[in-house]
Amino acid sequence: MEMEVNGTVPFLPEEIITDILKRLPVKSLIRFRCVCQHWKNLVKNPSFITDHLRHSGHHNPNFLFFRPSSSRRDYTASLDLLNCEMQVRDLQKAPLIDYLWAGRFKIIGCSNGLLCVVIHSKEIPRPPSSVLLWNPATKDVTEVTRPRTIDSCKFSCKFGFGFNSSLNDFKIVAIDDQIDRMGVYSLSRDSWKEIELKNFPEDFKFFDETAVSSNEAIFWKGQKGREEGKGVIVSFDTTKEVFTFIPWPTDTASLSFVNLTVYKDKLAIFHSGSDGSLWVWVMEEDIGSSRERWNWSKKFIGCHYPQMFNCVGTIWRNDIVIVGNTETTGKEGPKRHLCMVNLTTNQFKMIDSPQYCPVEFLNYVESLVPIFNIHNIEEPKTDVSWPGSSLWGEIWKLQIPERCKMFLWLALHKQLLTNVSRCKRGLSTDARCPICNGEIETLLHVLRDCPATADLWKQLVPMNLWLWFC
Amino acid sequence: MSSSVEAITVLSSDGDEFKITVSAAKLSKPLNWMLEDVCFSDDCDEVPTIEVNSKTLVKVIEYCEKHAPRANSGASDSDAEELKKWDIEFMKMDVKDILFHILMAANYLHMEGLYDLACQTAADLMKGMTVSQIRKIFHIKNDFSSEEQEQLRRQHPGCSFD
Repeated sequence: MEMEVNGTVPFLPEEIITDILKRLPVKSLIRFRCVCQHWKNLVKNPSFITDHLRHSGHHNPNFLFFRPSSSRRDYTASLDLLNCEMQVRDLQKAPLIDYLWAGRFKIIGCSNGLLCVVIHSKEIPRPPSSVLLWNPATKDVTEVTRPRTIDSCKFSCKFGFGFNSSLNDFKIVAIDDQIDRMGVYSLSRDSWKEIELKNFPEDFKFFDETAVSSNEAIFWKGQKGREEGKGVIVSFDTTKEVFTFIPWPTDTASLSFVNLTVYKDKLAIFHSGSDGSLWVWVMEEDIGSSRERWNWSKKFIGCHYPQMFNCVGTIWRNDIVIVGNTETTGKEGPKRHLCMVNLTTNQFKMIDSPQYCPVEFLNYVESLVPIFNIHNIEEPKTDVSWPGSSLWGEIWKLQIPERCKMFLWLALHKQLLTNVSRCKRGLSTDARCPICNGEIETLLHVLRDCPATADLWKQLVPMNLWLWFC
Repeated sequence: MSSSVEAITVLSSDGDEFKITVSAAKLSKPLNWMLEDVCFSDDCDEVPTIEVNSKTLVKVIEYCEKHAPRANSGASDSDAEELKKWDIEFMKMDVKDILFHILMAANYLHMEGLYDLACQTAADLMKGMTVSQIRKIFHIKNDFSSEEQEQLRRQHPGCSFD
């Protein structure tokens, strides 16, 4: 796009430039590192990264899926992205994707733009599995140091991955298949901590490998006792590092599939009955003093989704996304597609049928989040400059009552209704200051010169600066 | 105080007078405050100055007047859709030399809707620009040393450092 430059293009204050930049995709931001030192440092700046993430999480939540790009034997795959406009695009052609495809991998979670992937080798004897952290947008990838727990138990481990915002840290959890030990990895410490597991019930069993994370906790599906239908949700608090067992909201025996997911930052379950009906439960944490800590709200979605039996799925934005079967045509058998059911309108639709069906899919937000010790990033030093116009933005951002912002703004515009301006407008006949009853009440008098105000300034402003102040 | 007034007069930084309806002025918090706190009677000879040049102020007022009915009453989905289309057209006009002024004005007048719209427009334009075009419009000097440039050139083939 041609953009003509003439003398009228103003210098934008720093804060406006940042507000524009946080709306750019990661790809453009990485390209614009070449603009100048400051922009190069900006994409590494933790507060900019957070701003950018918050903005794209809010305005551009994506849906990511892995699918074989041709026949299974080719060992090639693609990582595709579905955006809010329902366009599918190839995220990245990377050797890593084919490498993953060639092995046995499982994406154990996605948080703040980082994917956590476990790779199990196909070789025999089986070497230890490796755990990768990967930011597909910045193309950074790193192998996480191995814990002893994973070495010993290999791919029967149960994993979980999530971001903890109060600690500003990513955590990976690995529970061995005997459920007697676990490892908790912290990205900021880059180390594993091993924990003995004691409070797990004897007869506990994990349902499957799927874990979801929300609100500083990681959740798995499990089962207590031999009796079918005694489902339980295991929740791991990533701050306190303790487990809680949450009973299923419903009897699971007659259900054909049950999925754990996250809806509006809350833990949610959706399941189907044997009649093809679809239900969603959202966990509302009970604040009251009742003994039941977990409160579920239930929502009936619809009755006739026969295509969706025995499926894994998730909730993306306001839709349930699952893999469904279409009607059988020809000898190839049923074709599988990504299907969506809207939670408000209950409408069913199929996404632009990809050639091969996704095998892994997850909610994803593009981010600049780096994969190394997040606490080691230095805040780049920025020049302290206050271009006149940037002052306004500073006022709006202050955490003060609206009334005070208004006072500041009006004062800077010399629009405060002082007694002098009251007199001018014929609202008063006395222009003097009611506090000191001496001088006329101009703006400067109110804010600086009145003895009452001046005393305050004398306490606030260091003595060596008084000369500049008056 | 101001309830009887339907439109107020403001001065641009170039000294031109502009009329803006009260309902449109309410889109800007500070203008709204002025309405509440400062008396705008007809015999008042004082007109508030807005630190925005005339050319930009015309556009800002145009935006306010268009968005005011919806902001004040709430609107149906079809209205919202129509307004979205209008926004796109609005931003197409003369963006080259006025967009940044509108950004500054929206920031200064604390108009979130217009500010978001202008930021997004600028971001969308930037996606298609080269590094040297970016430097030009933001008045940025290339401050990399030749070694740094060499390194960046390797990482980003095709980026110019002229």
